[in-house]
Order: sequence, then structure tokens, then C-alpha cells
Amino acid sequence: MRDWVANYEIGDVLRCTNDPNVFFLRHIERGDVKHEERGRVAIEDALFVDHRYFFERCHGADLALLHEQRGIGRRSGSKLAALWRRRVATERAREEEPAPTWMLTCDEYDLVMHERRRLAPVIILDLLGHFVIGKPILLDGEEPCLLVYNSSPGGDQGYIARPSIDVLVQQLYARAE
Amino acid sequence: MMADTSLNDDDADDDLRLQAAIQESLASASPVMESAARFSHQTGARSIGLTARAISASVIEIAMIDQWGAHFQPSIREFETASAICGYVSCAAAALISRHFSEYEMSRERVEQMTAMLRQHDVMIPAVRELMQAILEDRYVVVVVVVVVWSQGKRAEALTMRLVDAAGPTFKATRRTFEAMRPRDMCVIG
Repeated sequence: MRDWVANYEIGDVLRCTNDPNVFFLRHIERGDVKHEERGRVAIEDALFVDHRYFFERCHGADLALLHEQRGIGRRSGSKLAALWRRRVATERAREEEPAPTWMLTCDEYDLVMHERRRLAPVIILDLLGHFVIGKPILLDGEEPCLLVYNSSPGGDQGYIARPSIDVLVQQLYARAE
Repeated sequence: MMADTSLNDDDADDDLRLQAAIQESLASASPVMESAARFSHQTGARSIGLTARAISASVIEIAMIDQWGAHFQPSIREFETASAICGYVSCAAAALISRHFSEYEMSRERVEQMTAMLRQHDVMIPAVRELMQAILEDRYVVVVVVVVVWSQGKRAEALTMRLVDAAGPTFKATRRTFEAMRPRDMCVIG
């Protein structure tokens, strides 16, 4: 009862909100989970077996877009549809259900944010042992920055050097360059 | 319609309180952006999904409310949380940022205002407490359900899950937790 907030608990909190602009960049912890987490994490992480990270968000956001992109046979030229077909095929082979629409691969996140580009996301970041917030902004109209809000300021650069920050920077700015 | 109007009034009151709290905090604070740790961030050329190249970007680390401060101790005791509460603080702060500072283009003054909000005890502590309560209730439900099922079997499971389904949205998330658990896990917790 007194344990840290687990990854899936943050996912549950987001899923129950109505805010499509808040995301959780979840770092998949394979092989290092506690007994009460194991069943839940195993099911969720199995949907992203080829990934180290995935995004979570509120239930119901961009449903039409995701359904369309994940549909087989429609908009067959899109990269996302191709990705999704591969994933569905893999999952069918494992006799598992597709990931629910509140869970996104990094490429699905790209697509969703492309459609919603007028809003800046707020991203809860899993740094493996600590959570912080990432808020991408264009500072004073000219400088793209990622603000990282940290509730445990320690003075060293340990948290900034964690791989999740690297992944988020790549995710946010790779398409912009 | 009455309920909607009332909700809007509540939102407006909340916004006014928030603005007052931000102004109060800004009046006594030193500028954040001058002193924030700034890093020129260079990613490795790694493959993440479809992308694979090196990227440069500025990463600015800013301290928000201190999760270890004495101001959180009463809530930590009341809701029986771990001493490290970064998960609660981050979720609460993310919701507040999204609601009040959703724009992409921001001036330094707006960043100062956003930071002031995230350091303001009157704003952050109630938001964190709300999450602590929701997650604690969720964990209690998991334990109760697990104990009942472990001791009473399938018939009790069906009855208990009907109760969980009738509860609020946070409890409904419990169902996924519960359904993902295996008997061995249940015994350990129970």
C-alpha cells in the first residue's frame, strides 16, 4: 500500500481524465517488476514487444484518427497503417488483442501530434526511479526548448542524462528539423 | 443545465484563485529562466520507430515544488504514500500545465508564471492530495477484491466485480489491475 506510484497507475490516472494533451512516456521495465505488477505489466508491455517506450494518454482521444490509421485496407499508403498492419499481424500470431487506443507507439504519437500541432503536449517522463514533466515550447518565438520540471532538484545532471530525455528530444524534434 | 453552469462557475473561481496565487508567488520570486540549468542536448543517432538521426535541442531543467518538503509530510502520512511522491506530483503538475499553459509559443514571462504556479503550495498540494486519495482508494479496492476472491472463490469474485464496476472511473481502472493478476499474485497480496 505504501509503494511508489507504479507506471500502470499513472496510465490509469491519465486514462480516466478528459485531457488529450497530457501524455506519459512509459519506459518498459522488462524483468524488473514486483509481484503485484507482474501480471498487469506483462499484458501491457507484450503489446509493445519490439519497443522500449510507448505513450499513454486519456481514453477516447483521437479515436477516429487512430481507428482509421489502424484499420487494414484503408489509407494503405501511410507509414502508420503499414506499421499497424505489421503489429496486428504479429499480435494475431500471438493470439493477443491489439493495443487499446490510449496506448501509442512512438510513431503513432507522431501522427497524433501532427494532427494536433496547434497544441503543445505535456509529457510525464519515466526516468526509471523518478518521474518528471517535459513541456516543449518555442521560447520568445525563436528558440525551441524542452522545459523539464523536476520536483526533486538535486543539483547534478543525473536526471537530465537519463535515456528517456534523449528519447523525448528525438521524438519531439526529429520531425521538425 | 444547472449543473453545467455551476461547474463553469467553479472553474472560473478556480482560475481566479490560481491567478491570485501566481501573482503572489511571482512578487516574491527571483526570475527562474536566468538561473535554470540549461543543457545543449545532443541525442545519439538511434532508431526510435521510424526516426534515426542525431538531434540538437536545448533542455532547460527547472525546479518545481519540492517533493521532499515539510509541506507534503501531512499528506504523505494521511494517505500512507511512500516518502518519494514524484509520481503524484508529476501527474498533478502535468494536468495543471495543460489546463492553464497549453500554448507552444511562450515568452519568458509566461514561463515564469507557469513555474510560479508549479511552486505554489496552495495550488499544488490540493492537486497532489486529490491524486493520493484516488490511488490509495484504488489500492484498497484491489486488496479487498483480492482477499475476497482468495477466500471466497468465483461467486464472490463476480459479486465484487459488479460493485467495482458500479463505482467511479478510478475504481474501474482497478478492474484491469485485478483481471491481470494471477492467483499466485493474489495469494501474496492477500
